[in-house]
Amino acid sequence: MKRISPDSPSPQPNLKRVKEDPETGGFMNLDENLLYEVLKHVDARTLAMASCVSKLWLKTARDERLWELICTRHWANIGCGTQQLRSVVLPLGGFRRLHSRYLWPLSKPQAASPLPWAPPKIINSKPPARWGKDEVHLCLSLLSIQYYEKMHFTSRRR
Amino acid sequence: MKRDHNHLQPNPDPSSLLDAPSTGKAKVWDEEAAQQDCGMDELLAVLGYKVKTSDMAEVAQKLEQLEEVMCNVQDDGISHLASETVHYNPSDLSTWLESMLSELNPPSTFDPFGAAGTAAAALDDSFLGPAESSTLTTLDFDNINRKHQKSGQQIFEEASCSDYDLKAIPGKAIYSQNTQPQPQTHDSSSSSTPTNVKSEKRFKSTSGPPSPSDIFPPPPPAAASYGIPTDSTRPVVLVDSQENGIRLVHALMACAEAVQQNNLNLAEALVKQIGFLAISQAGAMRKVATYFAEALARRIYRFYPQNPLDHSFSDVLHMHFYETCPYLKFAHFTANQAILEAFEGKKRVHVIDFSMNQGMQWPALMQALALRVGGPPAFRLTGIGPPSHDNSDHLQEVGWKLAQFAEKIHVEFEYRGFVANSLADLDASMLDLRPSEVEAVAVNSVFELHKLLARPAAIDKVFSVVKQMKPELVTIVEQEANHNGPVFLDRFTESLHYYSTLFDSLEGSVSSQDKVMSEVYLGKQICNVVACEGVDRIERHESLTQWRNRLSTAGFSPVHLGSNAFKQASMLLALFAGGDGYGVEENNGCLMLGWHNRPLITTSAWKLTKKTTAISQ
Repeated sequence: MKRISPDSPSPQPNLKRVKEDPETGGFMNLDENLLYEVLKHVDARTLAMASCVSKLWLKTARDERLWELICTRHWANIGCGTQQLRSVVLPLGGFRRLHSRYLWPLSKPQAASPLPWAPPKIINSKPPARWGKDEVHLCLSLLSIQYYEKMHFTSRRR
Repeated sequence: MKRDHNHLQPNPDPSSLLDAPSTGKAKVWDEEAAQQDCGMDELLAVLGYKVKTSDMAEVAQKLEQLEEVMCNVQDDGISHLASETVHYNPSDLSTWLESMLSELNPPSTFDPFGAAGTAAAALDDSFLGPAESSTLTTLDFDNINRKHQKSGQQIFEEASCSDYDLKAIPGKAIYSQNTQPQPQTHDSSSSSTPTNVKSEKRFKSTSGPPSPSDIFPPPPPAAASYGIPTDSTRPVVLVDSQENGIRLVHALMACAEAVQQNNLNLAEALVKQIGFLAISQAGAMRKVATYFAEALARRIYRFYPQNPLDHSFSDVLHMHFYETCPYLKFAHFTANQAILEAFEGKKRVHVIDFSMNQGMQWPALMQALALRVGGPPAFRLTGIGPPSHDNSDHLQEVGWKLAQFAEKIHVEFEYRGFVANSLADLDASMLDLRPSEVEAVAVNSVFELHKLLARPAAIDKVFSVVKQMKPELVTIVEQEANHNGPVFLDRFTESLHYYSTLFDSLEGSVSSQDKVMSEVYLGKQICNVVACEGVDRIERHESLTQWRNRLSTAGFSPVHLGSNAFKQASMLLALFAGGDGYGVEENNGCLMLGWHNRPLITTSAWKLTKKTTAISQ
């Protein structure tokens, strides 16, 4: 679904660029920073779709800070500070992965890609408005296990 | 050697082979005591053949002839018989045989029946088509055998295949009958084909009147066996797989009972049947039956599994089991939750893990510790595991991985690995324990403690060592089953149910390779429970009640697992394929994971009972 505008620039960080492209609308002319600000306010689904639009959008929409917002916006306070959370989640794969692999499947039945071991079959189909502490802890644990497994088995195969 | 038809008198010798009175499922054979039923031979009547007892000799002769013909005239003219034939409702056996014989123009000579051609065998031969001199016999053959158990005659001895030389099997049951050697006839056929309409009636055999047994010659000793399946098992159509399922269970139970009574020949015959019956099933039942049949066979033939397996292979199996089904994950999650709560507020923590394996439990705990309010404590892990067989320091490798992981999430980590053949070899002094004000200790054991029950003193020693560690918490996860009773048959029954449930729960899993590996993993346990004894039998599972007793006697008191653990466990299960069947139950503070309401594993937490010293003055 990527729509790459013909003269989309190669991604370079922190460069303001205004594209005069008659084909695309004004929205496509947003630069990264502005795009980032806009994307801060969208929900998970929109953010994921946004990454399919163009290379620039892909890069922006994959920003961990945006996904951190998505994750933490609706989850219960698990008691730790932001920095603390970041220092754990980012090394283990990041918020985007946490969301797409664990938080999202937990809340939506069969909506996301299958979990490593089995496709999720969620019994209750209503997505919760918030993720409770237990959901969050479970997902974090699963993320860490997944990371460890990958680490464990890659080095074993060496 | 000619078959001797002369001794047609009933020979009531009920107990010559079965030493012990039959119990349990074998009683079904006892039920109908020898009652003649309007002159019909009762045993064959059960199969559906109405044969007058007085006619039996004749019928037997004809069958002999028929069998002779069929086995000798192999290639010409009876190829149609070689295909699957199903004989429905044979009510008049005698005339039917007559017709068959007249078709085939039988030779004039009798063949010494020997071991092979018993009436039933011939019967089955005709139905299933004679294989080319190889194997044919059938389940019915064995069925009738069983019927004759009570009358105490081993009849259908087949000296056919030398690969089944059972001389090694002690127990004189079969050999005591007579010592005349009988020649092996080439048509001593045994192959069990799983299908057979007659098989429907198989298990309704009765002890019946002894008369039919007299028709058949006394069994040859030595190297005898019942239906010996060899190569040419034909794929045959199954008539009724559900009934076969019931028969399968019955056969399993009967075999176990025979093993318990040390009636190894019967057991052997049954175990072969089980093998074929198992093929008729699909899915979980088939696999379970196959594993149990293998285990029984190992027990019968004294061919014990060579322990131990290559460590890396058992690691692989363990990993696949971890991936495929939620049991291990449940164990880890619930134990971790308990440990996390116990470590609240502690600055330095030390976990002693009796079940190190791949260390899969600890990343999640470390992450949870890293995210706790106030930051992570200093985390020390001591891992205990069996020695590895390929000189690799498996425990150290795992330790390195965990150290890397800990570094990623900025948790101070210290690790030590201990190799021990048995937990009972441990001593608290080896562990470099620090004073409990400085360091809080938790002991974790997942599916390890039951292995100590083989030697009575071992578990007590381990408990005392644990007490010396002064732990804040001891988390124990064990199978919820009683596979450690004194009676073999009880253990067998229990484990059959337990593993059937377990295999059922695996059926829903997605990846077939994972599933197969998990089944192999469980199959090894089955083999151990059924085939091994003494110190080799390490899978001595006990139920929660039994563990509770042991632990309270040893000086531990239970700690209730909180609702967090319960909720997380329930959610975890919801994420698994086939999650509908799994359920978490709470039992007085312990959490049990079960499949369709049958609890399969239990997590419990314990702390040291504080001794209050009463000073009497």
